[in-house]
Amino acid sequence: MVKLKSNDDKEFEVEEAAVIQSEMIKNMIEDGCATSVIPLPNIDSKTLIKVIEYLNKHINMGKAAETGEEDDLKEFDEQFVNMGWEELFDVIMAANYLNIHELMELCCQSAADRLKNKSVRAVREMLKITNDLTEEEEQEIINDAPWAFEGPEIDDTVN
Amino acid sequence: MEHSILKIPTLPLELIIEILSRLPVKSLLKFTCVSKSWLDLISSPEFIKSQLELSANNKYNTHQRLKLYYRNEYSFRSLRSLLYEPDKEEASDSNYPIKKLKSSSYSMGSVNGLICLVDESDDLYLWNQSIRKYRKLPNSRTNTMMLISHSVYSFGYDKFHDNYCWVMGLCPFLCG
Repeated sequence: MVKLKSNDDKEFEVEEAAVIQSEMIKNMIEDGCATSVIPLPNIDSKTLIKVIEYLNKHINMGKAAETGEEDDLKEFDEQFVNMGWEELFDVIMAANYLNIHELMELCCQSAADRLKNKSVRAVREMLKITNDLTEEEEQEIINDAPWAFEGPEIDDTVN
Repeated sequence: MEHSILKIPTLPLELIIEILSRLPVKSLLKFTCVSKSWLDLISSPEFIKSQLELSANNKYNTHQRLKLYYRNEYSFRSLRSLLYEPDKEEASDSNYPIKKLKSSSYSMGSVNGLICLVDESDDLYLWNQSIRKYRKLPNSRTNTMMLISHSVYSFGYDKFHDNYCWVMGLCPFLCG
């Protein structure tokens, strides 16, 4: 068992087989730096619980294909990313810090899927981006590929 | 390159790139309008390459397109829809360049979504279907060469030099 500590001082015990899906922790264990508690100063307990839930479900990923659990795992993944926008960001940051490739892939794809049909205005709001293009510059971009700004799928809601 | 993205308190630039490179081309074109830094980022060759790589390796084939040719016109269907929703109609106006030129043409080949076309008068066009743009290519073939030979073309990608190239072969008419 490996002990992880969130930045709000909560400790969690995780099986080594699960936790080594994190390249960062795997390296720490291999280097003998994981003898006691591993502090994770960038991750709060709420996010760490989500990450551990993912790691536990994804233990022995390779075996899933053999035992026919692939669909089960796919369903879990779909449910897993069904979270708030901010929460998804926290998990992406944690996955990036812990270097968990599959989790990163899953969450970034989910973020991309959510942004895909959003209007420009909605994206600016969702990612807190200030528009620094002039009206003329903006019009020029739209005129260059007007079809990209049209379509029934375009969604102006922020969520 | 200055990035105003860095001002976002929640997500660093590298993660923004991770997310954006998973978007389809239409969304990316739309999002060049988000801010100056997004415009710079999305238009940069490095970003374009990484987006292409990711979409080509997408395990669900969501970005793969099949080129269909019927009555001198090309149309496109996503591989995913052909595999899983074969009855679903898919309309796409892909701004087929030769339609405007009113001349029949054939495709010399396609690489990474770029299609190289040659029309009846041996003019060459490079067509990027996903951004619906095309460009006429300079043709080095001279009038004399056109009179005495028939030409065959091919289009390819040189991975080593990261360059696209077309090759022209000349077959003299005399040789049959």
